[in-house]
Amino acid sequence: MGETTNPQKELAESLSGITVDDLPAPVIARVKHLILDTIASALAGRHGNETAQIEALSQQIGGAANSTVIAGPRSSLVGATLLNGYQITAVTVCDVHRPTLCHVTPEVFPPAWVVAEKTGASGAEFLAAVAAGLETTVRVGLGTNYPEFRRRGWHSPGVTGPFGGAAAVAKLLDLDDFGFGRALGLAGSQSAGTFAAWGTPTIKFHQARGAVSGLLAGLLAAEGFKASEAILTHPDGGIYNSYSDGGLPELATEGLGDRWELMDISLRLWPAASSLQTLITGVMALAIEHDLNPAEILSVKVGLSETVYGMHGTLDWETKFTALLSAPYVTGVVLHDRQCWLDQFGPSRIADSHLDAFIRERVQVEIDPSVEGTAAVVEISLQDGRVLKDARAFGKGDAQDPLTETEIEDKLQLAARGLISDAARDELVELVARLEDLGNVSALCALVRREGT
Amino acid sequence: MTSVSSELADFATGLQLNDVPLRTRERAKELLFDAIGCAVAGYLGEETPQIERFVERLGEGGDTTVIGRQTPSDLLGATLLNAYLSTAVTVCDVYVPSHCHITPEVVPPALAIAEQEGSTGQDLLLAIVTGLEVTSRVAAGLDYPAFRARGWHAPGVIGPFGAGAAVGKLLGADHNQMSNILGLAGSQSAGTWAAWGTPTVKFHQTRGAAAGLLAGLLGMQGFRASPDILGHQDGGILTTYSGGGKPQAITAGLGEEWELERISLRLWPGGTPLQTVITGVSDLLDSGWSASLDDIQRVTVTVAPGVYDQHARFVEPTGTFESLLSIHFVLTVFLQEHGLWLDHVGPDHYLDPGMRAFQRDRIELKSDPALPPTRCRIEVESPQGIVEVSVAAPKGHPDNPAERQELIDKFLRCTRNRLEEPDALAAAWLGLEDADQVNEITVPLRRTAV
Repeated sequence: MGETTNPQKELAESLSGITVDDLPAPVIARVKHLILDTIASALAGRHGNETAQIEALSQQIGGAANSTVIAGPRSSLVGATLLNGYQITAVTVCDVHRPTLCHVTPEVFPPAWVVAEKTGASGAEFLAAVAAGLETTVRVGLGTNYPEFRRRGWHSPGVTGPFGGAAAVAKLLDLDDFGFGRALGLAGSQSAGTFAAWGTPTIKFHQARGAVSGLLAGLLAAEGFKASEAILTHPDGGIYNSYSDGGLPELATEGLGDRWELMDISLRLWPAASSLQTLITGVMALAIEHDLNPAEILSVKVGLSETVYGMHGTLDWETKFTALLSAPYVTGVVLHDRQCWLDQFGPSRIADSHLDAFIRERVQVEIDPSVEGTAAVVEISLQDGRVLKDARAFGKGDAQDPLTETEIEDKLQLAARGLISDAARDELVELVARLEDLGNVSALCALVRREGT
Repeated sequence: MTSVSSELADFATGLQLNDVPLRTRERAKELLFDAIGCAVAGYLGEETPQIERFVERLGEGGDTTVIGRQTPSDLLGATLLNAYLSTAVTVCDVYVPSHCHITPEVVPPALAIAEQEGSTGQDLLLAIVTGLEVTSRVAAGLDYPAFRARGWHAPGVIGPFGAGAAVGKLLGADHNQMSNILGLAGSQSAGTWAAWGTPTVKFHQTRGAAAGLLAGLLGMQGFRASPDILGHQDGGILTTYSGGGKPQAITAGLGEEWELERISLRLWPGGTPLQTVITGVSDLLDSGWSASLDDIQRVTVTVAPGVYDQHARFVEPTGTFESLLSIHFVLTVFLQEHGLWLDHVGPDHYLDPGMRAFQRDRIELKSDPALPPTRCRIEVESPQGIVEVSVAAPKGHPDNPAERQELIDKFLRCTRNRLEEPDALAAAWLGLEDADQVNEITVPLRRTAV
């Protein structure tokens, strides 16, 4: 690292002025996919076990209720940011940037959404803001030296998420590079959230609070409030020093302007832990390809990396929350249902004694030393003596096997059931597809606003 | 084995006002009283208008008192604004061992919730005692040198704990709710010294207060959080922020010894370490010594190395905030004015050529590794000879406490140009326990004379 490297300044200079015209076509397409997927995730999040608690909080803190909550009651700027942030991540179906294990859209989209609605931003402005926000969080995360950052207990979304949220707000408020930089400084002053919360919904609150932090940072920077100009690299309290071992700041800016790191954000088709998506992909593939009947299955052996096994390998499935994170449960339920949506994690499905017995008696999850990261190996032994095997490095939706437009629309269809009309859903797809031509994002907001609010 | 987090939650849940010794209650009341005065003075902060506009942009309406302002705000807005106001002009409390300003995080959400709930004065006092003690205890559990070496600034990290606990206390939290509140507070612990030299270092207190409000309200909903946010091996506050910390210090003598009594107050505006220097000059003048700036040939101030490192660069400050961090400046003002208050830290003083020349040419700042941060030595050379002052603890420190009358005088200085009937307000807040409803004494804080 050169002594003069200041990724905060470089990010601000590079991203504060970008418009949709500066974005390559594949990036525009990808950001639109991410936006549509985020709205789908937020709709699904209305079914989160704790969503009502966050909704109550968003109402309690007060403020004029002028901002759109996706399929929820209108709330204040902060309240809507908080609730949308929680909904996006509530049922574990949102995006993930795997190299830094960071869900990015829950922090970036909500503050951009409410500020764009308030300012009457155009679709192009909103798109550019979201792109700048996603790129900022991913790049700040790449600079953390993630293994060391994780070893110290940090959970990325609440730490690096506020940067992207702040960047998106700064863009929508048309801040210059100094203002954009101040927003990043204020974001980093709110970076928080550790794995001490693992196993509780507070792990998702990190995303919601991260979104609010980005909103506060952007709005306060717009007032000219001064903040650290070296929040990432400051020797006394810079993110890369206090949260890591100095990090790899050069990675935060490598190829900036030429390469869009946001392209490396993965999506999920299924509401389950991001690290279990490969496993689900493998199990689903075997079940469909071989038309498996669970009654004919003698045993299922799942091999995971030590890290993924530690997080998901032994989790029980007593609640929806833990079932979504449980490798044994998702294996069993996908083999039975050949589907993986919220119905598969509902109380009656979790309590099904037949399914429960199958998982306990026939599914064995273990550490496979040959498996790295979020890869998974599935081996199914059948009564007829056949042994079926699926080994894969990444799951459907991974950046290396991205979801297609149709798959995202299918996900939206499932998520929107009972929440918005089919006509509104179809119009939503259409508006996002031509987002850069949309005169005002309020048209989008109106489509997902709950009637009467 | 019960975790320290659980023990702290138990303590916060079960505490009753009758369990709190009278001396401790009085101390907590003084801390609350002082915080309110500081908040009124906060309107003189350079960035306060920015925070006011920011809060107005966040939301409109609401009926929560903003101290020293006619227009109320919503719960969150009032919490943010009151917190910034309390710390804006660098005259609020500090828990010296962990360099943590505590009242800016604890008082604003407690006031907001107490108003909303129609709490009694005694309810509010109990919540304040609980909040101050919880944050002080977490502060005591930090291995502060390790924590500081990692760059952490305490208010935004540990402030949310006390703020959340105070909110929970007012809302009648049971053990599980209080445990969740502490977990949610710690999930928002943030703020480093990278912000030093910018007003964002004060935003840490502001955001810390808001974090406590969110933690308190959400924890009451039954939202589950880490049951051992302090000691957890993978991301606990003591582990991740402080290399393991001193967990036993959090609970040792809990409920019998009161860590909140170690919170210092400041009689003068200025950074915490500057209070020692100001105390020295004040003591010198009180002793009858006097000389004009023109007559003083040299002033040598010796401080701890850490204090030197943080403040030596502010020889000739260029703004109010820098002035409040400048040993050279506050020393010069005090020698010239025989006092130091907020009307001395504006541009007419910090841009005064004569004062700047004195600061630059006649004051020498030195460091001595043998000195702890609360001590200093001052040597002044004038035609009368050389006089020396040594300060063991600044005025307002637990080892050199401020008298109640001194705190009342400070409150009146803070409020006299902004609030109506400041004397009556002082009496009302110092008689907090007599209020049947907190609104009786918060609403008058909206009656401004400007």
